[in-house]
Parts: sequence; structure tokens; C-alpha cells
Amino acid sequence: MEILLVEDNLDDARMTIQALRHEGVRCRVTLVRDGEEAMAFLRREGIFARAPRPDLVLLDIELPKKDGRQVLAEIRADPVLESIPVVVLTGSLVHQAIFQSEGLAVDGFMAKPVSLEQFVQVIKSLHRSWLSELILPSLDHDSSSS
Amino acid sequence: MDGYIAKPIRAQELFGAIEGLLGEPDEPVAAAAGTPPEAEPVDWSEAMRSVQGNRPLLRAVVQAALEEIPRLMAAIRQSVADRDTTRLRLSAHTLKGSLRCLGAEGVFQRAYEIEVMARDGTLDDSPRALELLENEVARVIPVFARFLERDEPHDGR
Repeated sequence: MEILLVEDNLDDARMTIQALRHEGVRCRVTLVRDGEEAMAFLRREGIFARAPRPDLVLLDIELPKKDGRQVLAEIRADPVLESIPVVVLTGSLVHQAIFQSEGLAVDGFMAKPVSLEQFVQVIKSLHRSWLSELILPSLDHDSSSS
Repeated sequence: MDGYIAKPIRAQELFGAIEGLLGEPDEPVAAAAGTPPEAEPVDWSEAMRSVQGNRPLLRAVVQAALEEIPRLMAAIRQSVADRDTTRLRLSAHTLKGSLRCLGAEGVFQRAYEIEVMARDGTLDDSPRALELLENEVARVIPVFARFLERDEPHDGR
């Protein structure tokens, strides 16, 4: 499964990628570091002409060039991209309240540092069971057999 | 919807809405003692911009801030004591982002200073920076609490 991580802080990006390095998580993570680059990747523009369509976007809020709010608004306004699940990386209740009020269909929130447990919990809570089954087959098996 | 301003936001409407929701301004601090008044801890015009003039949302966001400030401050205090730079950076970063949305510039600046110290791994001055942050937070919390009291929804409003 393809995950697009939109994160400008390399320490935070490293922590997120490390959290997802688990044999039960089947994914490939691509990192982009600002909002414009994220939209270019999603729209397969320029150097991203052959980029895969992500199955999930993990989106930071404070980003250079175009912030997370703008990126999410553009994704939801684009008929080609609007169905991509987006999880916003923030532990701030203030930001969560603002995002939820804007009708931008946030699929979930994760506080940084992202942990495997938090990731599994959010993926399982998505209303898209196919995503959970594809990303977390081993973990689903583990939890159902325990 | 009560207190909502359609986009694009016009300055006069925005400030009218802010006056309407705040009522009488707080009394100037220390004015009687002849010392210069301190800057207001919360810039409500900035807060209203963040919620695009949506008054019920502003109330929800202020409630969220009052709920999360104690949790984040506890994490910051503990991180300073433990010299845990990762947790300190993330907690200060979250506090900074939340309070900036609400126009609390003083908290934003102090939290940013701590975030930079944590990022650079230079924590020698962090106890003093924490003290300054505590002072700013102590100024902001009663302002938020008063806002919620004044903005309490009731019949006929």
C-alpha cells in the first residue's frame, strides 16, 4: 500500500516512518516536505509524473508554501483526489475542532510522535475496511486470534 | 447561525462581531498605578479570523484550548525536568500551534522559544523559559474562561 507522508520536519518524519516499520504493516511511504510538493505528487505533475496514487495521506498542518488546511481543501475539491483518505498529524484539540468544522472530511487524527499502536487504531477506525485489511493483514490476524 | 460571517470576511463586520461577543473590555491592568498597561494576552480579531467568523466554532475552540492547555503544560514541565528533548519539542510545538490560532501571541512566542531550545538540544535555559511560559499561560486562561462565561448560550439570544 502506498502512503504519502507530508511532513517538513525530518525528525518527525523519521519517527513516523520508524513507527510503521513493522512486519504487520504492508506499506511503502513516500515523504514530501511542503504543501505544494504534496499537491504536485498527488496530481502527478513535473518530476512526479509517474507517482503512484496514494492509498492514504498522512498530513502535517504547519507546512511551508501551502499549509495542511489548504492541501486538504484542495484534495477534497478535486474530483480525482477527493476519495483519498487523509489523516491529519496533530494532537491539538484546537486544530481538530477547526478541521472538523470545515467539512473537509478528515478521516482521522494522529498525535506526534506517531506510534504503531496509534496508527493501527486510526486505520481500523476508518470507514474504509478495505484499507485496514490491505495495510494491516497480519495485525488484524493477531488481534482477532488474541 | 448566530454570529456567523460569510466569506469573504470584511473588517468592519468582523470587528462588529468581535465586539458583540466580547461585551465590555477588561479593565486595563495596572493603569491606576501609573505603570504602562500590559498588552492584551489574547488578540480576539486573530482568533475570529482563525474560525472565519464562526462564533459557535470559536466557543468550541476556546473550550478545546482550556481542556488541552493543562495537559500540554504538564507534559512540558515533565519534559523540562527529564530533559526529554523530543517530548518537549512536540508538546511546545502543539501548544504554540493551538494558541496561535486563538491570538495568544505571548504564549506562542514563549512556546516557540522552548521548542527551539528542545530542537537544538540546548536546555540549560529551559527552566527560566518555562517560568516565562507559565506566566503567559496564567494570563491567557482567565481571559478564555471569561469569554466562555460571557458567551454562555441561553434562551432568547
